[in-house]
Amino acid sequence: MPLLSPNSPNSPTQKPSHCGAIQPVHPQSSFFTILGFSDATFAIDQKDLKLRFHNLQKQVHPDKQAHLDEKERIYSDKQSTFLNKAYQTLRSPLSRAKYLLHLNGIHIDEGDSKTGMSPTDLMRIMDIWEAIEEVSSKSDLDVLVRENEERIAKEIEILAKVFPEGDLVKAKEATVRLQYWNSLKQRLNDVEF
Amino acid sequence: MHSVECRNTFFLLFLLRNAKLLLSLQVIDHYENPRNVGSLPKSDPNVGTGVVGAPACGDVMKLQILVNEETGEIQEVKFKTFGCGSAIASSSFATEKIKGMKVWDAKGVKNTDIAKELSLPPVKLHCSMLAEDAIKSAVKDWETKRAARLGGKAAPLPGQPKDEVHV
Repeated sequence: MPLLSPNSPNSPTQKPSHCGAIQPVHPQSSFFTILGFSDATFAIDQKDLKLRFHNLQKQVHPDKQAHLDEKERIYSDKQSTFLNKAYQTLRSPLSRAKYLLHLNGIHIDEGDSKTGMSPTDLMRIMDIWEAIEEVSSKSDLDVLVRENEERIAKEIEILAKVFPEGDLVKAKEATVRLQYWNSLKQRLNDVEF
Repeated sequence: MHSVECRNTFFLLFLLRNAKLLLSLQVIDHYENPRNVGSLPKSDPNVGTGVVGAPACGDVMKLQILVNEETGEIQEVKFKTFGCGSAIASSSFATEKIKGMKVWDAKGVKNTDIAKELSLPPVKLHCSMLAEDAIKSAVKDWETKRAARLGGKAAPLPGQPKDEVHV
């Protein structure tokens, strides 16, 4: 089902109170359409995405365009850069979610520190960071990694549900939480034993 | 990202990764030698605790103040920040700034003051906002605890503006 097409029952034009300050999604979203997707959706198959990207890269990569004149080579270079950016954005759930929110006119900024998070939630995140500092064995680390991956998986599940439903409030909250888990993931990746 | 403890390797990586950012000496100083890192006992009636987060980048910051209940002066400040160097530097700087201040004056510290004194690049302005939020959050927590403790008898502290008194 297309994400928030004008005819969808969840379209913001039909339920403005549900969506707050959202603008209608332009169905021709650039990162999605360049990769050949007809709709901007959260659910994406990674293998399919990678295949589309590689096939398109073959067509537009500047290295393959030596026979073109300068103007066309510049054009191809821009296409290739844009394609790279599209792929990098869509392959990660967090950046994909942020991009989908962006397409709906929603941006996460400083004022959203309480979106989806209570002071208790933030305290809990601090506790997790401190637990990472205190980890003293590989098995302790593995536990923390697993717990964090579970948190990430939960948000992805929520996003896969709420985006098609057009519930952008919940989508924003889940994306904010996913950002926090993502930062923890990066930290956990850097811990070595 | 990293806690304030793992400085050396991270600092080098940080510089390499952020070569484009013109790091001011103050930021480097506050990152290398953060002031007032640690914790205060949350249960102490004169300790105000503020925990804030930056949703755009996932940084978290905890700032705690120990306030003299007779004078309203901030006697002790501790912080812990997990995130980018500018967030750590901003909170370190903030703790230095508010130590010794009256608690109602600390509430007025603006992120722009912090950003200006650290010469934060525009892309890191939100880190100073985080520090401002953390201060306000810690002050509010102290005020709430005090009001709960004193009920309707929260008399103004010497020098406290009348509209600041919370009952």
